[in-house]
Amino acid sequence: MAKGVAKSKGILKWVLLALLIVYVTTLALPLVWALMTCFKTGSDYGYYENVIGFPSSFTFGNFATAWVNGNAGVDINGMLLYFTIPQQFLNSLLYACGCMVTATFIPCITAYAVARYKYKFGRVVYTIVIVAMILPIVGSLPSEIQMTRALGLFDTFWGLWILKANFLGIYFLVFYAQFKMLPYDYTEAAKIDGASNPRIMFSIILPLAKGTIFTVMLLTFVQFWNDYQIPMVYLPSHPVVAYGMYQFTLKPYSEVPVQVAYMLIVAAPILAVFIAFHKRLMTNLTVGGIKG
Amino acid sequence: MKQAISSAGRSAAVKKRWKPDRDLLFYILLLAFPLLQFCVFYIGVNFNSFLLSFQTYNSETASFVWSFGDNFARIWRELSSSTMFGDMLKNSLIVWLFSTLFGTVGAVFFSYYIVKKYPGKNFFKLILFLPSVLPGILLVLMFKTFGNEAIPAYAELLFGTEMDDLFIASDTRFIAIIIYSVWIGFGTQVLIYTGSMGQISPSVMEAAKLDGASPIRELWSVVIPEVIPAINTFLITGIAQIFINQANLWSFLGESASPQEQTLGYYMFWLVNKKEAGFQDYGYASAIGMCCTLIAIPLTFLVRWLLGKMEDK
Repeated sequence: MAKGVAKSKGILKWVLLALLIVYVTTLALPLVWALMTCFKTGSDYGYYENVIGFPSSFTFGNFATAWVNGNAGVDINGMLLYFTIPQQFLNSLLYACGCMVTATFIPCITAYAVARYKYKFGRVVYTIVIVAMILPIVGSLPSEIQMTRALGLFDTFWGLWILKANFLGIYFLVFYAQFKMLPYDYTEAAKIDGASNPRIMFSIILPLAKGTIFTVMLLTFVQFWNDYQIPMVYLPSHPVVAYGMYQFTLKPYSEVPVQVAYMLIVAAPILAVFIAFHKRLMTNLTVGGIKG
Repeated sequence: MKQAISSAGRSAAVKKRWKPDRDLLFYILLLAFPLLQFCVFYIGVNFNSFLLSFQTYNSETASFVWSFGDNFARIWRELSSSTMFGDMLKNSLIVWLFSTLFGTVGAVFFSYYIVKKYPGKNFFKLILFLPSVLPGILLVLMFKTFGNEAIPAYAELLFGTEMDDLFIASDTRFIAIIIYSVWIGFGTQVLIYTGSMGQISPSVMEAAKLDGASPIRELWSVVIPEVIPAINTFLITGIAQIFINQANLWSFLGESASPQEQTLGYYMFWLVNKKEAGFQDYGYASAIGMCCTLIAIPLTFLVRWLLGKMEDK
């Protein structure tokens, strides 16, 4: 019996290991290929058809070419304007940082109010979040565009920050669980010492939740930095890096080594964030199942 | 005298009653902006979407005009005269089935491997999560270039066969895009499932081991029941994905996905964002969205009810 169990344990372990190795290989292969290709000259890749081999000679020229040619063109009032890679990075920073702040702090303060104050309205807000998560409303994009245009928020960074400043979604539940968990004694003690409500919130409770706040900020930053569709729709005159990349995917074949070099330039900042904060990014933010 | 005392008492009580409740004021202050934002961008937007589905755009006057039923009649015409919506629904369901079935099963098995602390668990966790951090469009560009350039070259080198570009050839690109979507989508689920599995008491696992449970039995009877609430959450919220998932089609193909490979999510996005879009199809897209919502809401509640029953059992 014990022998059989040990055998089946071994089989499952090795089967899963084999599957994971296949998975890692399929992810690593394009990356290794890209790293080899970005150092190839155009003639090495194209003329000599060295598509999968090592570079015959190493060149960094592809990075320089990609840096110069990685412009994103946008149509502004009938005029085609080009944005350089540094300009796209700046737009990405403005978009991602602003949205990160609003998309983190609005759920955070809403969850704080609902979790730490015993007013019945808090139940209403909590129910709204759960219902909105379950209720699948489809096709509201045209309406949202129309509303942002009507309110003067369209094609502005601050408009998009406001659009993303909503408390609905999983992060509200993460913050709610965190604030509910903190003992009420801290608040009571601070109140007896004469601390005001803002002081209790900013000096006592939020610092206790700073780990969760930082993790959510990182996750939202990565999410917004990587997103190209929302800026494409709502910020048509301010192309971000991810949108520049999208334009690049649609360009007719330019030199493949230059394309690959461009990919690596654009991936560098987010890879740096991942390497620096991967433990924090991979923190388990478990909030349980949905119960109405 | 008594009257004077009682009147003074009353005014003191009134004064006390009117003293501003600082907690309440701060509470209102905290919730004011989030609720205003919710009213405008959730209730307002969805209500406007409902109204928009009964409007069409008049390009001469550059305004939306009421046209009760025109957009729905157009949907009906498409439904009765072509297979367009049928094809899109079929594609949406294929994408949903693939990602739900393979995505969930794969993520549960991989999470089990990580939780059991088998060799290389940290490395595999990192690699499984990596695609969730990299820009989707970067991965698309990388896989597209690799699939179109390197894979045919490898196929020729290893097997001596000529192969079409994977993401260009019309007979392979849709299935290649679906496989790609499943392949890069394990990260979030693995994180959540490992979190849930990590909460299983070691004594329960130990007891199963002492009872002679095989790993498959342990996975089925101990581990999976623990992650069922998380899986159910994915399944319930995933119903909407049938109608909104673009399956990376926009990232791979831009506006040029053929009608046979479009999903409903892609089509609605395409109507609003194609180059010559304007406002012409806003009403029509909203009407399609409303029809999808009318199907998705009862379907979601049905799935939620069924999963709840199964969870109780």
